[in-house]
Amino acid sequence: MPVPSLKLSAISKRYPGVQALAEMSFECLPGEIHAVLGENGSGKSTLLGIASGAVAQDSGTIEIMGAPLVAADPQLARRIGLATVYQDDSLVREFTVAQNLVLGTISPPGDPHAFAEAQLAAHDLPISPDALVGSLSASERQFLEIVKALVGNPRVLLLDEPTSSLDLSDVAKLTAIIRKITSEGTAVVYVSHRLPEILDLADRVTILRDGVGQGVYVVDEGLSEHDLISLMVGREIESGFPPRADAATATVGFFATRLSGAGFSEVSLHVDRGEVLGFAGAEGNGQRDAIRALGGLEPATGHIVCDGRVVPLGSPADALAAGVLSLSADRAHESIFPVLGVRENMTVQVLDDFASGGIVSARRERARAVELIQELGIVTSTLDKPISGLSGGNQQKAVLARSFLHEAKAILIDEPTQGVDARARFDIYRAIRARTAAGSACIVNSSDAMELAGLCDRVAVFSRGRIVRVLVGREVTEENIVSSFLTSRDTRAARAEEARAAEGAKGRSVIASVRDALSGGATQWWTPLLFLLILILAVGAYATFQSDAFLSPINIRYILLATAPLALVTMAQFNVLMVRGFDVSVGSMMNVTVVLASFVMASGTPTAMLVPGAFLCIAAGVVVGLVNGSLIRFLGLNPVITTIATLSVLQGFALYLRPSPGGLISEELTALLKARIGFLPVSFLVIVAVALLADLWLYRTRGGLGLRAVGFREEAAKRNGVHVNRVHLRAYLLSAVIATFAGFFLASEVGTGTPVVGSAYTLPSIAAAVLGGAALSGGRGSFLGAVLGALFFTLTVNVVTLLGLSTALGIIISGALTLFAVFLYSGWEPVGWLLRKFEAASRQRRTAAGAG
Amino acid sequence: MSVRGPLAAERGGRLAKQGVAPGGGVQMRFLAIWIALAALLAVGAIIVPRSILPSTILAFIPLAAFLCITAMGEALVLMSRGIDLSIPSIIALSSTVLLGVSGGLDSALVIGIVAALAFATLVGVVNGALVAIGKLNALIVTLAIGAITQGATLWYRESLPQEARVPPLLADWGSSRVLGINVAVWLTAVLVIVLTVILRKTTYGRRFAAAGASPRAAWVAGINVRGYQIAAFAVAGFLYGIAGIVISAFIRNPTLSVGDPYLLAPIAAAVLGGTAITGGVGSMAAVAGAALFLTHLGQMLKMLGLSTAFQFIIYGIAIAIGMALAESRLGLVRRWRSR
Repeated sequence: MPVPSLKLSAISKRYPGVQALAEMSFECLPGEIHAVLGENGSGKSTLLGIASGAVAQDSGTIEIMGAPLVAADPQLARRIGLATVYQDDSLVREFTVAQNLVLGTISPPGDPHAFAEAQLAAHDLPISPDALVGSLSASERQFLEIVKALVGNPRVLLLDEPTSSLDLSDVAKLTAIIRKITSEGTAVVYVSHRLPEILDLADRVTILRDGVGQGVYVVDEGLSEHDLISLMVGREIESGFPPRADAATATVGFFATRLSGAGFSEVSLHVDRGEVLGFAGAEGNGQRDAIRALGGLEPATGHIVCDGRVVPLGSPADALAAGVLSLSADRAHESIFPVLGVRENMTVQVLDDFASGGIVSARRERARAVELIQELGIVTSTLDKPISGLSGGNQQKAVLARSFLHEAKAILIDEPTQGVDARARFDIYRAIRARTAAGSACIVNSSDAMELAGLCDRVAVFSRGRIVRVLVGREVTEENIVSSFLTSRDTRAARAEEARAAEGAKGRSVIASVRDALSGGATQWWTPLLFLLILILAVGAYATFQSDAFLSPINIRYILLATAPLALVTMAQFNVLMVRGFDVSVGSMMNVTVVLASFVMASGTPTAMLVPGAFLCIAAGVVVGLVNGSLIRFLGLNPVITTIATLSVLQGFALYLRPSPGGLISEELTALLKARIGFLPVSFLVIVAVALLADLWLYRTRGGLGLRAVGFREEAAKRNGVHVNRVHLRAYLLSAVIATFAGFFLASEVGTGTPVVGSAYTLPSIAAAVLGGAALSGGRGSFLGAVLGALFFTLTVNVVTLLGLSTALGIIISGALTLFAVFLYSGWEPVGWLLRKFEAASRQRRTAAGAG
Repeated sequence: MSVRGPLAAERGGRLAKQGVAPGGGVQMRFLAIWIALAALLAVGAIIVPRSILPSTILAFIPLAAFLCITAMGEALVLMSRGIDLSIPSIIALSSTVLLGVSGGLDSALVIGIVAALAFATLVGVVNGALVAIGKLNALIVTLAIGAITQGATLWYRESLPQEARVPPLLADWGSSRVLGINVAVWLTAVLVIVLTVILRKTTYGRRFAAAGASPRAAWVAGINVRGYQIAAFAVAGFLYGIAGIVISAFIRNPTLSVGDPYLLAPIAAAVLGGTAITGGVGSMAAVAGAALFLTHLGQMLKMLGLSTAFQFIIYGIAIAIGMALAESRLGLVRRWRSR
């Protein structure tokens, strides 16, 4: 028997409250396709995560090609020959196909374009290396993930639900790729929900149930879908579910007709009063999107009626007003208010019930809260204990209490018992039944088929965004639920969907293109530069027209010299904006430099001592940068407030050294920084050259690619092996050090040790960077853009002064320019929203015209 | 109406057995600053005994009141997950509008005050609208709007006589004392109480806290998050406007730099007073305590002969410490999320 390519021995992993894997062993041989099968939550993802090094196991060993995986490190696993195909999670959408492929390599290839072309051609994929990943279809992205994983010929390939976004012809293409690599000896571990595919493709199948292996089976004629399902679902039916509703008294309380939205389409359903309807399906088949849209949490089209009233779509507040109450599955982010107390979390939606004249009666509110705490069995030490301190089950019960307080006619609960211990689960089931017994309709979405089987009167099964089957009465069993979504072969609708999406992409309206261009979707890095150049020329032309002095060499030289410190501090700021950070302390760093320079680089300092003096200032910058970066990155503090704190400390330090201006700056330093060729200052030319080199690094090297990946999508960057912490720390370090250089220029300009003169640079540094194309959301912009932004800023202020306009106007303009800049590149969301509205209206008009 | 479920209560919450303390109790994060203040007073009593003389305290307490008013505004903005760096500009605007509209005459005092407060609030509304509706970064918006306000104030000030004084009536009020304590302190106390009642007792205050604690969860729960965000900036602007008037009354002939000390100090006081920069949590009383603490500390340093530079260093350290404490609480949440 050959040595297994991947061998897991006695792996155990425990998460709080659940044993995800227990003593699980698994092996995959060279050239074998080994499928892993199990229900939602059976431990498949944990198994895959541990094998790939993304998750650390509690005990057990992993061997890849006979070599042990000594640490939970995906990069290490990658180096020994194991690659993982994530579901669209390691791609940076703002990058091209070629850039994404390069980002994933261990040693970067010479020509990215040729490299990408070769990789794609090897698998017959008609994807252009220059296409933006964001513009690819879901299936193209999935194939790109696979190609990326196959770069470097891994000996083991892990595939996690690779077909969830593929149609039939794509599945055939995927099958061909898998067969080809297995014929070359690569081992493939294949996790899927789709039984027909597994029976078609796999050599062997391992079945998992509640973290325990249920055996390994050879796939042959003798193995049927039915056999697999009965192996997966053989759990004991737990007792303790509350009794179901009495169907005889039912009247329809809630119905939806032809509801469509992102991830689901044409969903029609009804729920009677007193009834619980379940949503089932394999993960990602639209059931979650549908229940969220029903409650107004996602936009949708269609028609919803609750208790005879039409429910407006797309707004939870409107849905609530119409009697529909939603509880999200994302408890941490969308249900609880972590810092608020248990009572406040329970009563947040019904405060008016306890209030008269706007004043909440604490007595009435507390009394009701205590009642519910007892009824639902919530364990908490006090009413006002922050809810984040409660267990998951008690949090969920407190959230559920909202539905008891509110008069809602329909209650939509997404994953009612996720992360909840067994005892609390049955409290929650009883609470849901108690609520429906009082006359409400209820919809529950759950990934736990057993839960649905025990709790629901009817279960709607989703596949690829549609309800494919509704189980009623005695049909509602765990086995029926699981088998109806595992064996669904309905791919017709999905294909139609895909075709429609392609159609839509081709027939994109002009408005959509404009919108994308404005919101940065199609913005090239040089667009802001072009725009800035036009602005600079426009302002320059105006100034030339207004004043003869403007174009004089002296004035131009003056503008360029005045630009230098701002250009540098803007480049400093750009470093951190690139990684979604902020550095408000750059202005104070300049102050500290000016003041320090007035001591260690003072007038009369011997030339030989100027260099150590400069190094001392730079060392101060290094310390500040490291402190900023460490506080933000390792303590996880907010960058804005952290750098405000450093700003304050640095300002104090500068004022301590020089309570009032004093000490002359070395003339030699000034002479050096103000040296010129003709009328052009050398320093400015050097700054431009440095910016160009930095941009070359940023846009032409692997390191720059990694930095931009961190800015765009940190998670993806991490998966591709970028050292994310190092990148962040470097950004803050460079920011403070470059601010030190800006301080040298400022010192040469003011000539004396002035302790506050740099503070005025903080706001312009952000404004100029944003004008130069940097986005607060990270990843975008260029160093040259930063320099041009600074030039434009300085130019505008110069023009105002030159034309004899008031200083007041200068200040107003600097503020207005900043707002203009953030609006220009970051503030289009509201405008984009308006444009979308307009587009929808015009589409409607077209449709109407077409019909007429 | 609310629905009562026929649930068996036999193993009801543990709470019932223990009984619930009425009033809930003060959280440690808000208590901490009072303990620190007491410690500071005690230390002061030992190393600079005159720092706790009644005359010293009466002299500095109006300064603490000014800081408290501005810090409460900043705290409200922080509670709504924003940050406000336009305070110095709004104070200068309010002060200048008061001078200009009243023209130093008692007869125009009321309209001067109303105009000052209206303009200050307006700037707050603009800040709030750009942040909540425009979805722009609060730091940049308030810096930029601050610059525009500063420029506009400068322009307006240039049209006024060089030496402008507040109306005599206001000046007299500013230096008057009730029970031996400056009226500004009493006014601040009233503001603290009113804001505390609004935040703790009214439906508005409660929803505001929820909107700040988790905007996303608040939106799901049907709360108008944007409205509360704008309101936070607007009320903050109003408070800075009051501060502008009260400070002007105190110093009688305010200059354009009247607001300059209030860029960083309010953030330090708000954060030190236990306000969570992650939103939702804040106590106006604790902010008042922090204002007293910072002002007293500044006075002590002055008495020890240390330069004012140390104030900045203290603000910086105070911000860092306050934030680290707040974030370490959040560590609990993060641990829970990572399950």
